[in-house]
Amino acid sequence: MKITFPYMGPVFAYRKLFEGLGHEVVIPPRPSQRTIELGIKYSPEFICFPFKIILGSYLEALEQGADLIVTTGFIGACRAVYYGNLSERILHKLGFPVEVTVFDSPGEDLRGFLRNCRKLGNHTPFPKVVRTLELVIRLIFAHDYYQKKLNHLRPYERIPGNCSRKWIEIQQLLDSCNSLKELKEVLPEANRIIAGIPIDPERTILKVGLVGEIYLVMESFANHEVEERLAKLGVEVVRNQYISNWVTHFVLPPKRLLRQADPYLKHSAGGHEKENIGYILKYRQMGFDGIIHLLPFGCMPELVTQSLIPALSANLNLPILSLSLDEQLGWVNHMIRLEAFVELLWTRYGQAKEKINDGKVVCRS
Amino acid sequence: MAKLFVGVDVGSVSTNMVVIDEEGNPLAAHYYRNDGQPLQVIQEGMAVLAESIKPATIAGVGTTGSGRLLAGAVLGADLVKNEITAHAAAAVHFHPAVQTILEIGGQDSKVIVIRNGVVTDFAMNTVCAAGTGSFLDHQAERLKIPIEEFGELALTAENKVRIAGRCTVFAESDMIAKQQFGFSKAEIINGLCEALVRNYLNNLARDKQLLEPIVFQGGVAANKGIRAAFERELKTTIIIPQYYHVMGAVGAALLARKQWIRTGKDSQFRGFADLNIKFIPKTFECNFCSNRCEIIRVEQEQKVIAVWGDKCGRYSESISA
Repeated sequence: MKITFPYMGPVFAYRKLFEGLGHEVVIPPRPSQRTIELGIKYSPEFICFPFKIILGSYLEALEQGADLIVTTGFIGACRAVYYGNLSERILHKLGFPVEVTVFDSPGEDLRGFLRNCRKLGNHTPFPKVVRTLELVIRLIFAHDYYQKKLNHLRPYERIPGNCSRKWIEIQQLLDSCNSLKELKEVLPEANRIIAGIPIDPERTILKVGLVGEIYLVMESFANHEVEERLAKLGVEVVRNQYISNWVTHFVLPPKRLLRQADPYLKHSAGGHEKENIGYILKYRQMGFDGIIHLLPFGCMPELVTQSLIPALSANLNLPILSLSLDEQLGWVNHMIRLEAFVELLWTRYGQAKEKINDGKVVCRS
Repeated sequence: MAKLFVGVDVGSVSTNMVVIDEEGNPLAAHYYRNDGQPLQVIQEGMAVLAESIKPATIAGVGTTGSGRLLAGAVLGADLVKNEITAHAAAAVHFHPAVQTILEIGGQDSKVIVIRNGVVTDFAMNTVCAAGTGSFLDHQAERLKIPIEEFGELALTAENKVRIAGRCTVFAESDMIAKQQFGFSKAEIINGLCEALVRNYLNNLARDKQLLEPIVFQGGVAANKGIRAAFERELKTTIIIPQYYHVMGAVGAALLARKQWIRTGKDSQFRGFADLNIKFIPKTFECNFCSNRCEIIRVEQEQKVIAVWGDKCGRYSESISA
């Protein structure tokens, strides 16, 4: 069977996982306008925006011959729980003989989890499974490590777009390794690429935390390249939604972070809203200038966060901009808000500086 | 020679042009309807402007509004700013104590919170145009009332009529229903003004502290009915600045002036003569990668002067270089 999966994060690493287990793989293409249009056409109108993108990318992968979709479910979360089953029904109705395997949390359904593992395991010898898993996990962590690094460097880059171009090179480099040994060999090369980016470390920049619904925060095509657009305005964007983080938090829930959110929200509404509130508080402690919160139109857990934003913003004395994204809105409309928000942050920054430096303001237009 | 600054606000419905002097006093203000052709309006408007200010040097040009990129490229602007910052700059210039700005334009409405002369918070309507000028325009046309008399007429209403203001479609059917019950035009229009204000305050200004003094600007500020409805809802008087209809353009000019004072750089303004040469916008889909960006390109005499829409910078970087 030809396996495909949702487009999210380091997709090349997932390919290595399934190829290591002896399957054929179809990588879904990076979502484009066509993907989104396909997704909208066959999705329920009021389903979340990420579902529409994912369904569109499944359809594109099916066109390329995929016939098994592997995805995650996890009982207790928001509507995302039903993404797997819902997409299966839609695809069957459209006449695709596709199978959807949904991995639920082993804590909730151990038997189903093991059954899925056995099925995908494909009688691969155990040592090989372990080796493949280790490589995949290391690739995911390396991918996210370099992405964080580049996000940090981007506002300082001397040649506009340089970081984004180098990012493609680094991804290709990571994609080229098929064993832990090869991975070890390419890491110095990746470090060299990063060190070779001409930067201007003297630049005054702002720091903004990006929180919200994980898919929109992680995927640049879904959030209209918000990180790159902000970098052009002299803003470094820091986020904590990465696949590596998700894996870490799955194994070790960030109890302290979640506890900090308690005064605002006692119970989880099913998404990442407690984590997001925890990060807003953490970013404040780290001295960030502002927060940008992204949510898909109609996302229930993030609407909970959004409703707490006025209180958070007032208590923390921290500007927070909440943007609701979907397929209806172009980036032009968001750019106005982003620009005005960054302007607001620069003014605040200038005032704070004025207090410290007694009038010597470092400010850019 | 006097140093002047030009501000251009290309909005969805109108294009506004303002000239200010070195002290920030407006010398000329023009308001044009776009009629879907902002490029032509910019060219014609600038020609009129050139007549009215001779002789002087243009020391800076600022553009704002949803067409700010196009206007910036065509004019060779020194500063391209979002309209929230521009509106705030203009309001603070004329009314330094202002704490709240209500702005309703052709297709969008904003609320801007100012403290100590600085923007501290803002909100802007999203997809729906229910509370904006275009909707009023449309209804005025349907009722055969010139938009200029719309507000005056609302003030003559004797009875209160409640119109659903959540959505233009529902508002219109509700207006027709009320009309069939025999309410007068004035009463229906007054109901509409109140619905618009209610919608604005409940959606946009929710969670915002609207402190006095409150300044109301944008094209809709000309509407006395809306102003009266705001004053009734907020139980306070509302200031309407003299240049309420072109405040965005004034703000852009003021910001260009501020930048000039700070940097002292010469303007990149293309010059009035050069604006008469035809600008040709073209659009195509780039097939270089899977993004398939829609690229918009403006040419003048076979020379590309501006490119937008490419995510990777393939086209736009070749321009700036």
